[in-house]
This record gives sequence, C-alpha cells and structure tokens, in this order.
Amino acid sequence: MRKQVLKNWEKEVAKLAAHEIARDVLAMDVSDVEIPENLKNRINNFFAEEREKKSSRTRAVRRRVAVILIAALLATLTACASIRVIREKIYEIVIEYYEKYFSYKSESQTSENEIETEAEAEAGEFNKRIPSYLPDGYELCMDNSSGDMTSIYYWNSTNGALIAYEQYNIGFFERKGNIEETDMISVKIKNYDGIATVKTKENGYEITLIWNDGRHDYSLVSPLTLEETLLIAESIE
Amino acid sequence: MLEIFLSIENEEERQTAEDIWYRYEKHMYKLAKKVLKNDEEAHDAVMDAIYSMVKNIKKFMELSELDTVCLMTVYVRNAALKIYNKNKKNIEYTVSSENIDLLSAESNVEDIVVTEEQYEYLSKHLKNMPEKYAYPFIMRHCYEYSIKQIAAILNLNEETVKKRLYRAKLQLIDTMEHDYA
Repeated sequence: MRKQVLKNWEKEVAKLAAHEIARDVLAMDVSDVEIPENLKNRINNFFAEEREKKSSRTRAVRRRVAVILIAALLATLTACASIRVIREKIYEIVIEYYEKYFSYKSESQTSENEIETEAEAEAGEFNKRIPSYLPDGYELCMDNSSGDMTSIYYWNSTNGALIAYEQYNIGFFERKGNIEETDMISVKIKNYDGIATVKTKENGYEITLIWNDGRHDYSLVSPLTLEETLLIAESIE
Repeated sequence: MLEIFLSIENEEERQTAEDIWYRYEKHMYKLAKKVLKNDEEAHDAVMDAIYSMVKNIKKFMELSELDTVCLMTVYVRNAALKIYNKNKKNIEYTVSSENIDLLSAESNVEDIVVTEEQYEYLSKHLKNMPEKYAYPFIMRHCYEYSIKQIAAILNLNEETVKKRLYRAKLQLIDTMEHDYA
C-alpha cells in the first residue's frame, strides 16, 4: 500500500485518542454516584460568586461612567452659569443648528448719511415714534415709555385684544424666540428689512414684527393679520 | 465601556462552564475518586478542575461533546494526580518514565511516515500511555494549547512540557517502527 507523508498525523492521532478517552469516561456507570452535599454547595457557591463578581464589575464600571458624565455635566453647567461667553456660544450653537429657535440682534441697515436729521445725529437723542394708524376699536391703554425707550399698549375694549409696541435705540435690542408651530417671514417696513413671525391661535393670530431703521429698533406684537400689522408698522412716525 | 462588553461576553462563558459541570459532574467526581480514594481530596481535586476550567473556558466554547469530555477528564485527572503526588510517592510513574527514557534517542522525529491506517493503532497506544506524556500531547495537538498554556494548566515548567511532548512523540514513533516493521 502506498504510504503518504501526512503533515498533521499528530493532530489526527491526538484527536482519536481524545475521543477514545471521552468514550471510556462516558461509558462509566455513574448510576451509583452521589455528589456529596458539601461539594454541591461548594460548587454552587463558586458559580454564584462568579456571577456576582461579573455583575459587580459591570456595576463598578457603570458607576464610574455615571460619575464621569455627571462631573462633565456639572462642569458644563457651572461654566455656562458663570462665564457669559460660554453661555452665549452655546446658545448660538443651539440657535444655529436647532431650527426651532430664532435670534434677532439689531444691526444698522443704514449709513450715517441716511440718518433722518443732522441734529438728531449730533445730539444722539432718542426720538420717540408712535403709530399714526390704529384699526377701529383700539385705543391707548398704557404708556411705559422713558427717555431712551418707548413701550405702549393699545387695547380693544370690545374683544380685549392688545397691541404691544416697543422702540429702542439701536443695539440695545436682542430678541430670541421659539418658532415652533410658527412661520417666520422676511418683510419690508418702509424699505427696511424686518422679520415677521406668524403664530396661528384658536381665536386668530399672534403677529410679531421686528425691524430697525438704522437708528432705532422696533417691535410690534398684534392679534391682527400680517397685512393689518404691517399697516400699523408703516404708519410709525 | 469596553469592560461592559467583556462582561457580557463572559456571561456566556460562565453559563458554558456551569452547563459543562452540571452535565458531567458525576463522571468527573468518579474520576477524581478513582485516583484519590478519599472524599475530601476528591472534593479538592474537583474544585481545582473547575477553577482551571473557568480560567480556560474559552477553549471549551465551541468543542464537540467528546472533545469537551476529554478535556474535562484531563483537568480532573491532572488535579487529582497533583494531590495524589503531593501526598504520596508515586513509584509507578518513576518506572514508567524510566521506560520512556530507554527508548531510542536516535529516532528522527521529523522524517516519519504515518499512514491513515496507523492512526487508530497509534491513538490507542497514546490513550494507554502514562498520562504525564499523553495529556500534554493531546492538549497540544488536539486542543491546540500553547506550551505556555499547557505548563500553566498542568503546573509544570515549559521545558518539562516540551520534553514530555517530545517523549510522547518518540514513544509513538517507536511503537510504529517496532510494530510495523
């Protein structure tokens, strides 16, 4: 018979021997074998300890991870609370990437040549302006204006609706808002760019107009339609 | 985070160790008692075997039933023999090792031709070889343990393991040369 040189003969021989040993062991009569109680308890306790060791290791790791996360969160919150730059940076990121919110900070849309009067420019006075047009039924309710700001409420006694008007020197006005369930539209008021947010409510609308004319920031909040609110805004003088 | 994933994998291994033990506990206990004839020592041998099995459980993960039983047998017998040798002089083993040492030292273990027909014959001879030679050979070639791992499990140094592997192979070759001459 031709003999073949086989490279793994040791493996084959070892495997066969292993299986023979296993068969001999399995063929043993163990019907009369009783594992003593104390040995059973020793083995059961050993496996129970192994189980406990693994789960306590997992618990220890989870605890460590939780401590690290809490420490990182506290550090972030402390930084936010105490350092304005960080707080504002985080807010900018939220506003930039999370479209539910908008931010408006006034930037002058005019050059110095377009300032209304030279006297105003030289004096740096706050020139109070109010709407000259109001829809039927609305009348002045409250005027909280001061030397450098205008804040007026107009009230409709028939339906209890309010129109709120504010005016500030440019640069002092910053508005941030939630525009969830709200439409945001670019508008023009007297050729100046502005933003209108339109929120539909059960009994009508809530329109917010924000714009500036290079000297002042304006805000107008009304329960009327966008067109009517724009008419009020156009009449401010 | 890595330890969490390791412990999930270890859960499966722990379960495997428990399954193996509870399936073959009577066989293993009987094996230990066969060597030691003493309940307390048999308990210790069984516990040592379980510790070793758990430490090396990865080897058991994908073995067939026969391979698992053989490997458990190696662990239990080894643990029992360790206790036996610690307590008493084992004269039989001294005689056996002398026999091995008398074998031809000139056989070249690399140039041996073995046919498939001879496998079964050799495997029976290996099975009946003293365990101190048979077990390292089986662990090395059947279960692919490294020399280092075999040394750790059988509580030997690596040089001793290498010598015993060599002597086991020599004995098999000698058997072949004499019986198939």
